Amino acid sequence: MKRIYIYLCVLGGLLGMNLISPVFLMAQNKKQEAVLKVYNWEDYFDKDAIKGFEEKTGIKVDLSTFDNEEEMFSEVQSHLEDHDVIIVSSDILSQMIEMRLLSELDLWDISNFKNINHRFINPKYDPGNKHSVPYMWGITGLVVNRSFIKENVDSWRSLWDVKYKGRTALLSDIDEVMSIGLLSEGYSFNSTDPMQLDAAAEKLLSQTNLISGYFDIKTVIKKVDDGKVWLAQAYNGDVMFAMQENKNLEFVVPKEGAPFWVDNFVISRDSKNKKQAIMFINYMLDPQVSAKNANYLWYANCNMAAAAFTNKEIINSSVLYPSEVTLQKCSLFFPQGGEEKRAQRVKIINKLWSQLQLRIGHQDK
Amino acid sequence: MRFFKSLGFKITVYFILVGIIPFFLIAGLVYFKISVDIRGMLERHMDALVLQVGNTVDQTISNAYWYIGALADNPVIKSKDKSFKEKLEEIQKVQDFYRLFEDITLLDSKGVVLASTAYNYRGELRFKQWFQEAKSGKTFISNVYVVTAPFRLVFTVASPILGKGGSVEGVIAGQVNIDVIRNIADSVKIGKTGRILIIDGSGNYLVYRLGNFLFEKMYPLQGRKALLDAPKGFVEYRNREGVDRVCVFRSLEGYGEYKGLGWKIGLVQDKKEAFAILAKTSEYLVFALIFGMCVILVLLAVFIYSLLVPIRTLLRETERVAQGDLSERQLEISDDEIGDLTESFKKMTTSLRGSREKILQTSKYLKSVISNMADSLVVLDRKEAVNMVNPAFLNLLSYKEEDIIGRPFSSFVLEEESFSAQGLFKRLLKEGSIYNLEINFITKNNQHISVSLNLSVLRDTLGKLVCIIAIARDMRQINELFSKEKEARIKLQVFSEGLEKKVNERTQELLTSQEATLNILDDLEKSRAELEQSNAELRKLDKLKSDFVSTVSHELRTPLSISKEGVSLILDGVLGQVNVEQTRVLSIARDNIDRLARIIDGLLDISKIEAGKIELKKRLVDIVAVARQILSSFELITKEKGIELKLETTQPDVTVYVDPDRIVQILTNLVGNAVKFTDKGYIEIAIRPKDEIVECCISDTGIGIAEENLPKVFGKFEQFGRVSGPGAKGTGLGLAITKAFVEMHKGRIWVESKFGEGTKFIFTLPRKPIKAMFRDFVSDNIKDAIKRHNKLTLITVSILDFEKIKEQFKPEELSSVLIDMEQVLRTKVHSSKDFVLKDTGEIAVILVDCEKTDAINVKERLQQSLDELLFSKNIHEKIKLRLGSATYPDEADNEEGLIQKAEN
Repeated sequence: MKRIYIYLCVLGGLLGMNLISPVFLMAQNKKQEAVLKVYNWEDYFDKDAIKGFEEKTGIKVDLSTFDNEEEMFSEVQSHLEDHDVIIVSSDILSQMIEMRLLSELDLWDISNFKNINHRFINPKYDPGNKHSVPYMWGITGLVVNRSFIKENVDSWRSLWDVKYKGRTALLSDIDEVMSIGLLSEGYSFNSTDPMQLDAAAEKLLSQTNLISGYFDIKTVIKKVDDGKVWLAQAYNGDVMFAMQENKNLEFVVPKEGAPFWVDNFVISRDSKNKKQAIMFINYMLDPQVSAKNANYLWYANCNMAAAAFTNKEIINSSVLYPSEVTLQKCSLFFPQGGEEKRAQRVKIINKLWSQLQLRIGHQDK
Repeated sequence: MRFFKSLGFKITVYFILVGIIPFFLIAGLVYFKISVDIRGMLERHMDALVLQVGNTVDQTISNAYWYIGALADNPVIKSKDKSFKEKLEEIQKVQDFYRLFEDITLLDSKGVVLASTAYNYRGELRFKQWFQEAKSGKTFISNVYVVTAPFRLVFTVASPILGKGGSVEGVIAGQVNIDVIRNIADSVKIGKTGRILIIDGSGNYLVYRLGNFLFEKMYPLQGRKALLDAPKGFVEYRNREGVDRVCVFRSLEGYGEYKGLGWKIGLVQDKKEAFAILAKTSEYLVFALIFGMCVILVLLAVFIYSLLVPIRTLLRETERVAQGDLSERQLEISDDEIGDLTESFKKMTTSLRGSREKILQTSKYLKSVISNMADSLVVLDRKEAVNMVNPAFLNLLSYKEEDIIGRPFSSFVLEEESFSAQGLFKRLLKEGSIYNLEINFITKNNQHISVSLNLSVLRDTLGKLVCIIAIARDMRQINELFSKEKEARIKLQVFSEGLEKKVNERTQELLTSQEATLNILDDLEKSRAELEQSNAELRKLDKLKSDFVSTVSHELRTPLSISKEGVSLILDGVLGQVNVEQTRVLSIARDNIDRLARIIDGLLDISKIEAGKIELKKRLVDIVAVARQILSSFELITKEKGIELKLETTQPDVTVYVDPDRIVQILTNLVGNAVKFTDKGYIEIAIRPKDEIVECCISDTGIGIAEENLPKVFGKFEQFGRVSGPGAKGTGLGLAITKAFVEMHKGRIWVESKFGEGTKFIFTLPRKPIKAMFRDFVSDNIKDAIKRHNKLTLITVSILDFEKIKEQFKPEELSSVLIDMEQVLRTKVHSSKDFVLKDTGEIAVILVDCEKTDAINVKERLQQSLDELLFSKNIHEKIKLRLGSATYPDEADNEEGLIQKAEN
């Protein structure tokens, strides 16, 4: 009988160790200080907001930035594990989902999701917000330096106006560039029709001797502000921000229509800090934090609840929050048709972009 | 609990310990070893396949690496003079020739696409990692990534185009669709479920049977970790469909300059299928195990059965023997040790049976000895309590057996000053045995009986006291005989002395008559010597355990009769002339010898009576006739003396059921006494039948008996009123014998007398109705037959309608007819056992030791004879007879039954 007791004791000991060991593991995990890697557009957060998050949660935030979505896209593709929270625009979000780069979110974990304006919920680029939470939104339109152009500019075609030869600039984003080509030809910028695409390509190729080049947004705004460029493709928030300093700047939504985009929080598929990432997103959706960002960025906020804490200039700005009539002209970037058509479009615009770059030559910032 | 101690259980446990457990252990070890071996074999087999496929995959990737590298070195590509178109043609040739690349793109050092075979890529290539790496001068293979529209997995091999001086002038990149590798992997199919799997360094599926999960993390984590952590190995896991899978994997380590991408290639298969052979093997093994176990169990059962059955049989037999049943049984004998045991057990039983029979015989013999021994036997246990007694003891002390068993010895022993039971036992234990101890027993009725006690201690082989055996001899009779013998001896001595004296006196006279006298003297001397010898013999009596009486009769009477004969010879003058004086003396001697003989006879009679050795031979006797006969025998003497003899009776005949010889003796004694002591007057026998008795009174007018002597009249050797003188002298025993005879007949005798006037001796005899007497007669004969172990046949002859016939005949006539008939029967059957019932006209004859068949013959003979008799008397028409017979114990076992049977 004694032996049985010994066996029982040994068994009990083993069980006890099994029960205790997870506790040890958890304790060890806690010791490791979590560093949340956030990948965002350059200067697209209020610094105090990040600090606030770090102070509140004790999670350190490692913020890295990009000024070109393609760059972000390639980086994420190459090093998926090295990024936790990423800000992705609606333009490439659906592609990133298809490429299995993003995590699925459980909205229940993000209590502040309720603050999001219904307009931006359940978008077609991410039905059900399975992978994304809206942050800021904006419109790609034209920025005009009124110091040099007095006449009325209301069309993308103005970019082909020989009067402004050498004084125009486009964003160094093939999709944005292509949308101008399509829109100026009178087509939808989401078109996948090869005829229309070819026509737009011809149109854009014909422009190469007129424009000063393809630049990132910061460069574009700078050039316009400096007066080196009088008319350029730009995002409304950046234009609005520059307008605080330069009263000669004006933002125009062309009559042909304009792309309308939403920047979103997403979590990388291979993120190792998903829990912390959720906490971060939730924190950023807090009305006051969100308002802080909006006040700093001068961008239109998807967070409805933040409006109460947002500067009046921003809330009342027609640049940031255009009228419904204007908004009717805008639509999301979302190529139409099936896979084949989209693949075809990719090939066409890749070839076009190659040709355009070869003609213009790549300009560094 | 008995089951757990049984031999069968023990053997089973032993078998399990020695047989089954090692059997299972070995089987388990064998199974373990086999399974390990098979696993190892399967793993090696799978691993070899994985290695082979992996090599092919590596080679393919390496080829891509090499082609791009080769393209980067291609002079057309390198040339600055050639147009993009020419370069593209060169590139297109490579793509078309090898069919490995989906798209090959030529870029300048800034990442601007100079030419592309398909423009099939996504985004600006200058930001791609492979471009950055190639630009830094390395040929690089990118991670696998997803390209959409349509969805596919691709990786890019990028190589720098080096100009003179080693500067990077551009980059050439080939995009390889994973499908190329998948096609290689898919060509391998093992069984139904075995497929090749490839994951990248992050654990994403690159090649997997389920396309939906491509570029997703391998599931489950356990499998993924195992694959990512080790360069090669084996893992088991359960997939998302809940199926157990096994996976043999190894790293893709590259080939040539291409050093691998950290990919893992594995062969995944359903565990069930992969290890089917193992399952099959274990199935066989389990089957073999069960079969082996069954064989062992059957063998065990057979073994236990073969072992237990004889043991059980033996056990049963042993129990049977233990319960005392020793009868022979046929036992099966096996040829092993158990068989030997059975054999020796049988021998033991046989020998036990023999011993027991001997013991039984001995004990039977002993029992009969003990119960038949005249001496009393008491067996006492260790506590000196009675354990066993024999019938003699019970008779002696009038106890019943159940009363005396268990009582202490001291309870029936008279303790005196000189004797105590305790002292006795002390002595007994010391000495072992004590002989001839004279003590007194106390009977149940508190009488004291003198006994001679022999005690001995019986011990077992260890010397432990088993019991005490006491044998007691009733000393009363012996003591009495002693005293009687003493008296007789004294008398004999006196007589002898007298005789000697007289002989001496006469010697002188006899000396003259030479020869005769000498002869006489010689004879006398001889007779005296003989007498003395007989005295010595008598003296031995106290030591004799056998019949004292017979010794006396034989040893005493013979010399007496010889003496008497000698004297008679002299007296008769056969030996010569005897003078008057001699005649006188010799006559006296002869008379005395006669008397001595009579005394001895009397003593003999008394002894016999007292010892109960005299049997009455009862029959129907007319006591009146007997009395008449006795009186007539005395007529001669009484006439001489002038005494009148009278017979008085109220009935002409009085029938009683008595022994006639004894009645004659009684009457002879009494009348003889009367005659002896009567000189004048008369002597009368009066017979007075009463209801249940017959009173006989013998009265005389003789000298009478003094009143003080009346109580002594019936004592032995009592003689009074004796007048010395000539004539027969009494023995002094006559009345004692008479009294004894009367009492034997269950009668009574007493005396009435007045000294000088006369004496009356009155005795009674029981009188019963004739039928009752008949029953007594038959009953007595049955008892006799039982005693002698004889058969007995009763034949009855009855006269039909006896009452009518009585009227036709005179009583005398009828009586004579019956007497004649009786006479006829007596002559025909030679039997003294008959019985005539005159009142009922019936005669019964007892035939001793006569079979039933014989009895019928006898009956017929009798019938014939009786018929002849009646015919001769010419009364055969008046008297009709009926004969009946019954045999004991064939037809009836008691007198009533026998009589009834015979009469009907």
